[in-house]
Amino acid sequence: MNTNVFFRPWLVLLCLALGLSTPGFSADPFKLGQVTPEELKMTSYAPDTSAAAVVLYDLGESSFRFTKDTQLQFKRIVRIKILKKSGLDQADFLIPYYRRRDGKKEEVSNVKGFTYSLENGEMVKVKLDENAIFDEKQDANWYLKKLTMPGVKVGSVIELSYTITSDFFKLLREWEFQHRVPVKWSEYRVGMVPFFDYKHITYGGHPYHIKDAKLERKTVPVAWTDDVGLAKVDKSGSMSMSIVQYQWVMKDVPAFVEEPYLTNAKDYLSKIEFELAKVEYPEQKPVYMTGDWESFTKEMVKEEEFGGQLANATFLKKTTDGLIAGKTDSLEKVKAVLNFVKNNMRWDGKHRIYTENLRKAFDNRLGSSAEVNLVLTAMLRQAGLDANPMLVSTREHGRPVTNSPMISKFDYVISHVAIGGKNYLLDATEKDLPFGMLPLRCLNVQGWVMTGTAGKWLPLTGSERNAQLVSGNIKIQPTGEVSALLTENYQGVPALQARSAIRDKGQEAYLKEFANAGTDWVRQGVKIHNLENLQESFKKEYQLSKTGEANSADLLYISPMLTHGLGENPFKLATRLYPIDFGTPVDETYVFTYQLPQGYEVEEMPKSATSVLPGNAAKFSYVVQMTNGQLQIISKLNINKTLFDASEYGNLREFYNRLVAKHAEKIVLKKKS
Amino acid sequence: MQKRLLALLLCLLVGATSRAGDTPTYAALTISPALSKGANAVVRIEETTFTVTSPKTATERIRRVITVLNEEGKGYAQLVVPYDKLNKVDYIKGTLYDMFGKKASTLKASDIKDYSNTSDFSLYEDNRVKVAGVSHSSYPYTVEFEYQTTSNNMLFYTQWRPLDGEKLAVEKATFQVNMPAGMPLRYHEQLVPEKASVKQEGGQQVYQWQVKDLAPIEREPFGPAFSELVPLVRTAPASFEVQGYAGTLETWKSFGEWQNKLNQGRDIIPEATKGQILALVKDLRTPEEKVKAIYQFMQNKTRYVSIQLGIGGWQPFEASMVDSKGYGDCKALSNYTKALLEVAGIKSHYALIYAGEDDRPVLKDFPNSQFNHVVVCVPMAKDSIWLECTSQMADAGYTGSSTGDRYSLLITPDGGKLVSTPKFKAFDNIQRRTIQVKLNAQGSGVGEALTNYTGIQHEERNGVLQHYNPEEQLKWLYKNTKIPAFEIKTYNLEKVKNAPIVKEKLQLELPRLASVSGKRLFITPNLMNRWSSAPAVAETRKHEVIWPMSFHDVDSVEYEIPAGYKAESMPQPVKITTAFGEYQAQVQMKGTKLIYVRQLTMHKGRHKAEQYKELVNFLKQVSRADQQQVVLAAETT
Repeated sequence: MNTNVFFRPWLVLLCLALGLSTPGFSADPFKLGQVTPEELKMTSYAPDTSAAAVVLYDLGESSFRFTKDTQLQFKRIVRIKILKKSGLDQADFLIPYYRRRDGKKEEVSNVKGFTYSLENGEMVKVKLDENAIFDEKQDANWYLKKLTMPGVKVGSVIELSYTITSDFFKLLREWEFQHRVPVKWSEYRVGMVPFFDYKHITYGGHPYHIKDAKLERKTVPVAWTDDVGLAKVDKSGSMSMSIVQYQWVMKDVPAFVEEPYLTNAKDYLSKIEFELAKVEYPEQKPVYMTGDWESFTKEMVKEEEFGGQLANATFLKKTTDGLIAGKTDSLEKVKAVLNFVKNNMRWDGKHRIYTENLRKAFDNRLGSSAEVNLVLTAMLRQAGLDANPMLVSTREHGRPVTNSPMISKFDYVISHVAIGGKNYLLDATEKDLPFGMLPLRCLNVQGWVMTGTAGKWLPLTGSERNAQLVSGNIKIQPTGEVSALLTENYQGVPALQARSAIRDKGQEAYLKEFANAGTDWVRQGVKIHNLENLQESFKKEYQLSKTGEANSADLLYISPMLTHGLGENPFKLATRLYPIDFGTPVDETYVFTYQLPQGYEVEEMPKSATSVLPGNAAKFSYVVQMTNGQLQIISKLNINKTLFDASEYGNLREFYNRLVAKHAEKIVLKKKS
Repeated sequence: MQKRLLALLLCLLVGATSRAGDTPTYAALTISPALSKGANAVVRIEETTFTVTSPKTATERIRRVITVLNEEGKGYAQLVVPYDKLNKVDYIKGTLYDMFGKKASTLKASDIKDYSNTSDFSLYEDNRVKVAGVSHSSYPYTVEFEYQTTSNNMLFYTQWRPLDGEKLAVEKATFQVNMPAGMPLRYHEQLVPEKASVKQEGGQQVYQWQVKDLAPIEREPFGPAFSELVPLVRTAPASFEVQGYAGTLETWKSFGEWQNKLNQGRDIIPEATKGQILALVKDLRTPEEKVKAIYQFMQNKTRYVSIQLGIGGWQPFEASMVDSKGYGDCKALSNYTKALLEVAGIKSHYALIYAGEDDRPVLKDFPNSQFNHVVVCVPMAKDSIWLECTSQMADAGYTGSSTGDRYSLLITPDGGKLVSTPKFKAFDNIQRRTIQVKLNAQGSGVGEALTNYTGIQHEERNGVLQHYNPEEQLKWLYKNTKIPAFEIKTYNLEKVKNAPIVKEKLQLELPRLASVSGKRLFITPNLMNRWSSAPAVAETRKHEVIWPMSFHDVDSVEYEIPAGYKAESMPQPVKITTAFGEYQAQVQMKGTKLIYVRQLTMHKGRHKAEQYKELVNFLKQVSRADQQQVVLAAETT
């Protein structure tokens, strides 16, 4: 969008009005050197004595400038106290900034800093040398300012301030209140001008100490260029406008700690983000940037790098016609097209929504999630099917935001096709995905499907059955020798994982590795079924054996779960802060039938047991029974709920403790006397 | 059917090739199956020409044609060329051929990306890379790259290693070095089938090597580093110049003389700091005490920041600058420390070393720049004190896994001198643990485990102590304590001052320590130090066997067992002695106590390929012995 188109006419009018008031200024909070003796003397941070450093004060302010088109100015000052040697790296700063080939850019300026330390009871101040600030080019568009504060020791307070001026007024800077070290005071101020309406989104659980908005009347300098005849004339003036001065403050924010089994840590960090919703200049019609879901969808369909690419896809017609020739059944057509795209376009591993050139991606046979699945959608449409693109937020990108439409809350595109009133969700990026199944990364609550110019949410829970069944017949010899014939059967996500493991390693290497079943066990005669036939369950069959002692024993101790016992609780830590996300339901069954050696009887065997979590969120059952002289063990685990709240962690951990204990139990066989 | 079709295609192709005359084609199907078996990619031809034009500059031109056979080999269709201020990339050209050797596309400028190549946080480093990539949707296909670089950093000459990855084969590769008159080439050959051919051509001395038909080489578990297994020619200058600093590399001594020139005059310490140092050591008696005090002074005053500037990255910045800024890289901090020691009248040496894993031994007989790090060595009456100046927390004199047991080049006033750093034997790297456990009839217990870690075995926990806060330390202990089910009630980690020792104390709750089946308790007496893996036995072991580290572990566990239980089944004592190490474990009942003692001692070393079986069997036996269980049964009265 070109701002100038909107900008000029009203500006001329407004410039005639002169500013009226200049609000009084309090002491400049951005002024360097406001370090107190207490901060210098401080040796530990009371709320968290383990902290290696603490952010004493962090203030950011964004405001709009109108002297060079519309610009955003971001100012920041941060003061950090170093408490331990392991906190010294807090003195290293990276400031990324962006430049585009068309000349639009961000500029970092006024980088100033001091290190304050106590030496023999006196404050020593070391200035950040300008020569010690380095510039580095990261890639085509991203640059870095790098600096490290001088003279930093344990006990020092460092102070840094800088300004970033940006031509990208759509991207109002976000603010993170939480860091790897605790934060005493973190504040963000934004002076919102009447023309731009941004949505605010707050993340993380820490409450605001202050959340305030004040209306202020301000006089703002402006500059513009006017055409006078054939010449361009620079003009300047000022205008008066109402500014909403926002202020968000958090204090005593604890350090952010990451935990395992958390794919989207970013959702839990306390921060505030913005997305431009509307641009409305005086006497102009408002332009909605995101707005409601309906106009959001219309925008996307019109968008050159999204819907536009889908609309101009006649280049796929010939290929598609060839694929569906002779087919009358719609589902058959879908499958033919999906298989073609899966086998002829390689995914480059990138999560994208837009594409500059779908045709080029198709010609290269290589593309992002957007390109692979937009090709798929376009071909399905060419085949006369009701296919639509569907926006997804992948699990690592965070939970989908449904209250207000924001494109940055999505990072991935899949394809939706409706046949006979039934919805099919398709992703052609993974070769091992059976028809109708999505990869785990996409299974994140729900996605937005764009049907024509309307849209709707569809659940992304995965409709397929995820199951793993291991069954076997086992023979025990009086020497303790064990020989078993096992079958492992996988469906859904476990099958996808099993197939991908073989594809990643290569079948030969995989089999070699699989044959080595630890120091006691040997696997032989491994047969793999349905590696390529994705619609059937994936199967492995093999013999598992273990040698016995030289002589027969009076007592035989058998671990009935063989190599399949869960040896350790996956949830080791005693407490947890964040939810536990399994991604998909779990269904794991083991059925082992034992043939006992002649002349032996069961002396002891594990008792059958069941444990269930509230609301049947998870269930474990372990059944031991003797039938026709054969001993049968059935272990069954079902996780029915995929997302557990942190408050349920204790229950879940205890649930697994019981499972581990049950799996460790033994059968004792005794020689009949 | 498909096979027949391929054969037919092959015939057609071969026919086409022979008709085409001299023009080489790179049809994928002409590769001999002996080479492509087990390969993801095959180098069809590689020609490297390294031309030294003067002591100051050289150019390197490489043409490489490589056929990518499958998805796993696609990394080879990407060319990565590093460059920096002293090494510039003159050009990169590339062509893509389909499976029949037909040209499919040409590399465009937009296919070449430019990235920063810095690792972690580095304040200033101009290491960058150009990455050129072409790809094709179906395999096999062939890519041809040709590129040239010009170097003004003549401390480093090139090295030639055409087989530079696993699952890669080479049809043919040649290496040529052109030297100007009067400048002999120094080189070191490894596993090259034919020695260099040397001839005079015009005004130049020309050195040539070639290899043909190299099948893929696979690394083996506990085997040598890949770089040891492949043909490799290293080259080095006799005399060279970098940014106005000339030197010779013919001996370690002369290399040191060049480094001395770089360091000259960079050791000035400001008067104020001099005063502080003199006051600091005034009342200290022994040189060791003084070294420690000065080292600690430096550690408190500075911190490590990577800055790769100056004479090809090899000149330290001035001591006075470290003094005022309070930071520097390994060169600057070592140079500063040496200068501080000098103030107190203590002689020391700036010492070049290759830090990190020591599987890259320095070639003693081939003096050249083989180092990546700098430390300080302080000669003492008895042993030298080695100082790692980039750490704020290290102990003076400790080298360990980062710089121990390897060569270091001391930069003495008389030039370079290659010396060895301290070795770490099994009894230097000890883990000694005593555990007391009280077990109840429900199979759960409580226990206390006391462990002393020394030498290389103390490093990991020392790092945890220094870098983690208590919450993270506890998490780390949860993750790294190897017991199937446990809770840590309290823990204590403590570094012994000035010694490479960490003491650990864990108060444990051990639910399900024993598995209960009716009247029996099954217990694995080796509570927290179980070996559990052994690699597969290979039918044919090709390469030598390397055990990477010496250590000595002692675990003794005493279980107070519940009343009324007696041992029904007890494992036999195990004792194994091999060339790799020794193991013994024994468990016995003494009254109401079950006592388990285990010792494992391993020795760092290199063994013949035939001995691989012995290692695997040893590890299997150890692993089996470690999992053995005691069965306790309630006496039925």
